[in-house]
Amino acid sequence: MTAPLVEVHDLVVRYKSRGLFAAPFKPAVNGVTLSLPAGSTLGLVGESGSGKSSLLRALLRLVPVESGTISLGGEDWLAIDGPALRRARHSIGFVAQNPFLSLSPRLTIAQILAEPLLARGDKPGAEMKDRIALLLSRCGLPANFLPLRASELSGGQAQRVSIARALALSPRLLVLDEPTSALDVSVQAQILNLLLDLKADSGLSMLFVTHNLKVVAHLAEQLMVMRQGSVVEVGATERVMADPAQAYTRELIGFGRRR
Amino acid sequence: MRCATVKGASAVTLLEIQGLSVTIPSALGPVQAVRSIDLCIARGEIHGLIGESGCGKTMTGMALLGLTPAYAQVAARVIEFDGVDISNSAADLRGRRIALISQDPAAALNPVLTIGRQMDDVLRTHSSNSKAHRAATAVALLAATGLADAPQLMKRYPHQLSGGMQQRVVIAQALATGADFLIADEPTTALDVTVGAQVLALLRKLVVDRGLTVLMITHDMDVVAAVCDRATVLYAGLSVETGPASAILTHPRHPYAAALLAALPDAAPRGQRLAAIGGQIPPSTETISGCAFSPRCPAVMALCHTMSPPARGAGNHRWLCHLAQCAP
Amino acid sequence: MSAFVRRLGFGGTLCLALIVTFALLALFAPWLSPYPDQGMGTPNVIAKLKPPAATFWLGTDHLGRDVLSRVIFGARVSMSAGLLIVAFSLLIGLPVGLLAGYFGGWVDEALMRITDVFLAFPALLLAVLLAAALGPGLLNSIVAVAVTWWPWYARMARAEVLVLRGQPYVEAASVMGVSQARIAIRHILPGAARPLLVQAALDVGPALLTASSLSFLGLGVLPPTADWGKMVDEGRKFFPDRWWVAAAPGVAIFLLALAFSVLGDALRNREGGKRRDTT
Repeated sequence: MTAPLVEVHDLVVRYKSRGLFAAPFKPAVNGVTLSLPAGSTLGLVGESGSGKSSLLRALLRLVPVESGTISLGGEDWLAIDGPALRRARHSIGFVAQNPFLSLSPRLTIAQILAEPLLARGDKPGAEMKDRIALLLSRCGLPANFLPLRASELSGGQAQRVSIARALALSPRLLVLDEPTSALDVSVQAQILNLLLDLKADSGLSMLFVTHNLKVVAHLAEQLMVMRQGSVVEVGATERVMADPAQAYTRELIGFGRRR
Repeated sequence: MRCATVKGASAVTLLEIQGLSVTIPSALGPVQAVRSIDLCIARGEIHGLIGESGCGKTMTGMALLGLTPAYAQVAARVIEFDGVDISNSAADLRGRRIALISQDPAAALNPVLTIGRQMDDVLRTHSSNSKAHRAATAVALLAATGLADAPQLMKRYPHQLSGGMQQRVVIAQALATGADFLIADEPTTALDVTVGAQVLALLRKLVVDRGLTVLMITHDMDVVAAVCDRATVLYAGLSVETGPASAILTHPRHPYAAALLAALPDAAPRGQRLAAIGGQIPPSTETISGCAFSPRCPAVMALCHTMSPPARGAGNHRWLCHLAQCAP
Repeated sequence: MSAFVRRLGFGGTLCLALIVTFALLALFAPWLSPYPDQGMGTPNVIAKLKPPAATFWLGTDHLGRDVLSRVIFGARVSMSAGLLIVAFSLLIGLPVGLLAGYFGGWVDEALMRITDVFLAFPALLLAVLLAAALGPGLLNSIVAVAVTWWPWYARMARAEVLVLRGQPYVEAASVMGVSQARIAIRHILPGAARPLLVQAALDVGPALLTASSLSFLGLGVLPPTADWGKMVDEGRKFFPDRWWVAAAPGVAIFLLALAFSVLGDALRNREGGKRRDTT
């Protein structure tokens, strides 16, 4: 029995309304509780306005939390601040939806992959170069991509670079925000395969956020469906897929089922 | 000419295309956005045009609307709409018999005009009815697309509507033109899954109620499964397989169609590697020798690299492949 | 070379050539001008106000100095004035805009209110006042103009930074734990600087015009140093009978200002094309 890597308890995220007398917004995340065991994958499924992105951004410490707790590896993740937070961020890797937007357009792949290592305080040199090449090859790209820029890559290649960057500091948790939504089906399969391999090889823990239930169901041990800031359904993937308790989940699963 | 359809031999062909090509001159030589596409669409069906990015599916739609850029060269052996050759007059049918529903409804609507005004703009160009009569027609069309409280909606601006409602307004506008053939270019990609499902259900209802015909351009097999009667699979600007949607989804014959389906996340048990397609589509500047899919095909043979594949199948299910028994 | 011409366009290349020509003339003025000593200011009163001829291609001024030599030496002052004004302005405006846009909040408020104060005055009036206060001299007039110039760059830089700060790649860097200073310099600055540099190229023309205006008003370089604005002012007294004295420096100002504008435009078009590719 391993302790959960991530535990979120009764989390509320609410954006500030503008103006002194404007009515406060409804919470974007309204009392969400979840737990992610180490080495497993949680699929967080929701449509626009479900609060899935706000939950993810709260976890990445990009938006302030109104109430509730988040613990990462047993530590109070929300209590860390300042320079300590900057160091602590190394334990979470992040992959965004569109690799062309999330990779600096003016840097080469080598420079992009060096960024997290330099941020940790590693010294540039031959050792770092080797590490970068290794990262890239782990994600299925040869070293001759290193001098290129993101705009010279295909969508799938760029997303591989983005995953390599997220893995650079050997994070305890990989957070993925719609990592295949901008890609073609055949490329999506390559990326899902890569994530499966990484999971098998290094026991990576993942939080996979998406609107596409079928994509994440392929990877995740657990599924959590959100709607309008709240959790609608949560459970083991097999159970949710075979016997969804909620009509909304059924709607998400049932769409496009082969006749 | 009659084309074979799932509904039987009685169905009448609305659109027939043979050997459509769209070539765009560029600094790197001619770009073949569409190499050779055959398409046969029967009246009253929803026909899926399936393909990944760069396969020429959107350019095919643009060619049918006469909206290809002026410097693009469009050619076809046959391009007939309702039995009439439209190779030089595709643009004349646009907004009369053929209408477009685009991917992003927010971009398709003018943000500074009310819905009523935008509906009226369309209706005014197509009829000489009185203003009150046109307004009543607009309300009826909006209601027909499942929008509640249409009279109130006429006064709203696009940004006050949700994405699903905006797409319904775009569909109502398409109906207002009086078009009986809709080209829907990824109409649900910008929408939530559940909202997209409702929009597809609406299109299906309109096809039944009003006898419309829809060309559904999509990359999403779930959309094909949800609404399409028949479908054509494109690869590298070529139509490689055409047939009943259910047959293509369950028993694809062309290796590319099969590989595309095998790459879907629900094609393999959870946690097992998916059958990803290796390699890349050939660049659109390249001349293809043999079969376009041969460099990536799992069932490739020596002659695939040199000889163009023959047409196989019969009736309403046809494909291009050297293998007699395809579907690896 | 041909690829370069295609990228800048014909007009842009022509203007670049013109600018390079002026720069070379300025750099090698003592060797290229027919009468270097007169160019530097030595009077030659026996040949006062001679019209253009074989000996003096562009005629002579009221002290008998060769106008061509004076224009060539004047290029030194005018070009360095135009370039230095823009450079100083960038040096102040870019960091101010970067800090304001990146940190936001009270830093932004404070810096932007300060720039607003500078923008509240008519630019030329402020420059004239400052130049008068600082006293004549090339460096003083450059500083005077730069003080009225940098707020525009600060505003522009801030606007660019605000757009870039929300870009996913900047967010990705902060999630990786990259320090704020490094995010600002490595991830935001290069993107924000490009459009500013293009604007700066466009601004060299107006900047040298403003500097010329100051010396036309007697607030620029001290005689006998040659300066186009000063030369136009001196020639004014003999216009239109002895038109050449004012015409030659006037045309020089016009050509150089135009060349920088067209080159800036060409650069901007190129930048615009690039932007479209990446988004």
